[in-house]
Order: sequence, then C-alpha cells, then structure tokens
Amino acid sequence: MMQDSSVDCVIGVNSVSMDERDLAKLCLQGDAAARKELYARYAPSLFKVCLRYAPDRAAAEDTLHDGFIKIFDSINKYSFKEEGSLAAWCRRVMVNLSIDRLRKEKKLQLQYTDRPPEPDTDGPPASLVRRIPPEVLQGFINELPPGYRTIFNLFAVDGLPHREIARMLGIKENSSSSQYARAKQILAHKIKNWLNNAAE
Amino acid sequence: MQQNDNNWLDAVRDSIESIEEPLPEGMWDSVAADMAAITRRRKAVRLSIVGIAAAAVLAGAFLILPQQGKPEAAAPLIAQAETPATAADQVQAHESGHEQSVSQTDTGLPEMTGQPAPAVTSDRLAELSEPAPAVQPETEPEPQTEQQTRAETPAEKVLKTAQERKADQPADRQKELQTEPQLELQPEHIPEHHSRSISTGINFALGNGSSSASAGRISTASVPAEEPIFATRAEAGRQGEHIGYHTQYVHNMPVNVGINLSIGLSDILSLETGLTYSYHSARHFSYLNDYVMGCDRQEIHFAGLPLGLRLTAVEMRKTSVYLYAGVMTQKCLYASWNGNHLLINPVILSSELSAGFQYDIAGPMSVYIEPGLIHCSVSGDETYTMYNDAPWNFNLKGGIRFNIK
Repeated sequence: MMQDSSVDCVIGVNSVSMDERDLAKLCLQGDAAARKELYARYAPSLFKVCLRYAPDRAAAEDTLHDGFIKIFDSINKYSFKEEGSLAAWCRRVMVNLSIDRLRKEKKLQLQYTDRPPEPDTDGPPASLVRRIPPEVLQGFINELPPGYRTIFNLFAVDGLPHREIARMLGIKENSSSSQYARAKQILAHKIKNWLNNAAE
Repeated sequence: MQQNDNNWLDAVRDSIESIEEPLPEGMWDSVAADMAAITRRRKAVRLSIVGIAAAAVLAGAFLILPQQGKPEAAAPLIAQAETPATAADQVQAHESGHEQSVSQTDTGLPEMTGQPAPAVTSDRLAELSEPAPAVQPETEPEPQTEQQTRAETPAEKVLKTAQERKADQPADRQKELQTEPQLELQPEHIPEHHSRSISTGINFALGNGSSSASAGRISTASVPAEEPIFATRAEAGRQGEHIGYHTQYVHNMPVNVGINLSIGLSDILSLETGLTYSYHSARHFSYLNDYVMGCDRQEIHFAGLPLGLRLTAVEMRKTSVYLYAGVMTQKCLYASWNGNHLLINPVILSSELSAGFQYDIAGPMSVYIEPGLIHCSVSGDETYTMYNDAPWNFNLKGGIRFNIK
C-alpha cells in the first residue's frame, strides 16, 4: 500500500516530470501507460542484473519477463521512501527472482567451504582498472566459479550484506564472507595478469 | 589497503554497469499481454468468489433453523445411578407395597418435601406407592365415548385423579399448589438408561412426590413385565407427552477459535490445517403442560482438526478477504450437565464454506474472522447438540493463522 496521506488524482503519464511516487501509484491502479513507462525506464538496468546471475541469455530473458510480471503484480507491496527507492525495489525483485531460479534449477553450485581465505593481497589500482574494457571485466567475472560469481555479484555489485546473502542462499554468514574474499582474490589476480600482459 | 580495495571494486562495478545490453525484442508486448491475461483471470476468480460467498450467505439465511430441540428429547446420560430391578420385580414390589402409603396431609395429598428425588429402587418404589382411589359413580354412568371405551392408561388415571383432587382443594390450597417450588432434580438421582420410565415419572411430578411415584409406578405396570419399560428416550418422551410432559433444548450458537497453519500453494491458493476449540452450550427445559419443571445447562467442549483450501479474493498490504472450503473432525474433550461430568463421547464431522477477513499482525502471523455456513453430523445417540436437528448452521470462527509460503 502506498505510504501517502494526500489524496492525489494523477491523470496521464509524463515521462519528464513523473516521479517514482506517481509512477508507482499509477501502476498500482493498473494504468497501462505507467507500466510501459516503468518498463522503459528500468528494463535496461534490470536486464543487466538478470544477465549477471543467469547461466545464459535465454534464461536471463525469461527472468526479466517473469520479473516484470512480479513487479506489476506486487507493486502494492512497495512503499515510497525517496526518489530512487522504486528502482532499488525493482532491482531487488530481479535479484531475488534470479537466485530463486538458480536454486530451483540447481545451478547455484555454491562452494560449501569455511576454509579461511588466503592472506589478502593488494588489489590492482583503481585507475588502471578503469582502463580495462568493461566487457573484459565482465568476462573475468563470468569466468569465476558459479558460487563465487553469485556471491561476488550479490555483495560487490548489488550491495547486499553478507547476512542477507547467507539467508538468501541458505549458507552461513562466514561462508558468504570467505567465498566473497576468495572470488575477490581470483578476480584481482586475473585483472593483474591482464594489466601485466597489456603493459608488455 | 581497505580504501584501495574498495576503490578497485567500485571501479569494477562502475565499469560493468556501463555496459549497454539491448533489450529482447517484443519483451514489453509479451509482458503486457501476460499482465492483461492475469488481470482477466483474477477478475473472473474474484467474481466467482463473490458470487459463491453471496450464494452461501443467502442459503445460510434461508437454512438457519430455530435453535430449539424437539420436545421429545429427554435428559442425557449422566452419572450412573443404582440399577433398579426389572419391570416384573417392580410390578411385584408395587403389588406388595400396595397397602403402604406415604404420609398424607390433611388434604389427603402426600406432602411435597421439595427434596431431590432419590434413585428409585424396588424398595423405594414400594415406599412411594399409593393406593389407587376407587371411583364410585353415584349416578348411572353416561354412555361411554369412543375415548372412554378404551381402557384408560395408568397415566391418565393419575392425571385425572390428581386433577380431581386438586379441584376439590380450597382455593388457597389450590393457589399454594400452583406456586409450589419447581422440582429440581439432582443429576445423580436421575436413574440409569434402562430405568428411564421411572425417571420420567419423577420428572413430571405435579409438585407431589406421591403422585410422581404413582405415575412412575403406573407407567411401569402398563408395560408387560417381561419387556423393558421404555426402549428409547423418544418413547419415554412420547409417554410423557401423553400426559402433557415435554422437554425442549435451547442451543446457543457455537463459538469456535483456533490456531491455523496455512501453506501457500500459489499466489492465491493455500492449504490450511490447524487445531480448533469449540464451545457448545444449551439449556434444557422440562415442562408439564405449561408448568416449567426444570432448567438444566449442558456444555460440551470440542477439539477439532480442520483441513481445507483458502482462495484469496482481495489482497492488500496487511489485509485480505478470502473464501474457505474445508472439512473438520471434532472430538469431545469434556461435557457437563449442570456442572456435573456428562458421560458422552461424541464426534462431529463437518463440512464448511465460509468467507473470511484476515489482518497480518507481524511476519507470518495474522488474525482472522470467518463467518460461514457449516454442515455437521454428530455421532452417538447419547449426545444432543444443535446439529442433531439443524445440521445446517451459521458458524463464526476466529483465530490466529501462521502463513508459510
């Protein structure tokens, strides 16, 4: 239910001036134009979220389709807090749906280990990382083992805390931390190797 | 080091977020079409639910029966009383005690002690016996009517005799007889199952212990010695009705509360089970013509195991309206009659259709209230509940539900 004490009558959709509060309200009322506006506004970033977790592009498209159905169907559960909260809420719906799909299809492949990670080494300089083509970095992440990749994306890219990740994946919080540390080491190693090769 | 660690990770994130991915073609059309189909389907489901709920409410409004039992329902089984002798022995005891009589007042009527009637044995029967008055017609008897051509039953003789005697009393004595305190029967003095005829006799006493005893005696004598006195409670009731005795149950609406567990099968469909408690109370009135002989209170406590399906019609953030259909088995936990333990063990099998309103408290826990229509069948001949005469009833449930999705 929308957290709004005022009695508004929003007619029509103006993509320039429409804020998230009004957009969500219209979507709740079933306005087709508002729904299309929401899709146009957030679908590109949400598709990238799906691509991060899905094993392939076809699975990512299915997740995107089902995710928007879920967003429109459960928009009544969204409560406006500030501008940007609708985007974050939609993003969270997509992440949850992606993880659920992975679990149902048993493709999560978590590395169940509490082995402490190797001593942390320095990461590559941020300035050098920015010179690496984004597609190369995405490729490095995709090459990570599935469990490491999932936890890395959840923590480093989507910003979920380890406690939330542990609850979502059904693992211990320590396990989430150690697997993220291991993923980070592997990624840093790959980036350094690429930078060394590029320097040569 | 930590700052550098965060910096290069931020750089990785910013970099991959900048990647442009083309959206799949036709994705929006597919989403829009599916949303329209979902909306149409839910609208049809909601209309169906509303229609069914309205039909159930209307059906319940027409089917609700008055919550009163049949007059011939007699008092149920309670604590065991002393087993009286067989009918033959009782008749013989009566014959031998024919000359004995209880103390009589100056008016010729035995005194009503107002004490609870004791358990009736053959000895007691002899003590309570009273010589039947001899009727000496002074004039030539009138031609007998059809009713008089058949032999008067013992009960009719007693009533007639008692009425004649009453009419002979002075006006103040008649008034006194009218205002005699009601005979309150203590449950432990109501005899056992197969001596029901005696207890029936005691029940419809005209404020006169001797008369009641004689009625019991006479009704005993009216039955062949080798047969049981009354085979069923209904028969005892009918015999009672013959001389103006009847009973009546007034039932209160059962109250049902419980803890429910709901397991989500889909977005709108859930499987429900749980544990319920229901309380059934009733008042049992016994009358002789228009004279209230007694008022008893029956209470039965049940524990129930429900199983059903719940279909959500309207769902908002914290509230929802739904339709429920299910079955339930209820077992008696405890029963009482005027506060005394009632030795019955009924089982109620019920099927139910109801509409409910639910409010989410916190997490998976919510409270609900559910008015609906219920059909119940009760096992056991000894138990008399509102469902014996009115199996279709309105029911009101409320409780706490734990939702598991």
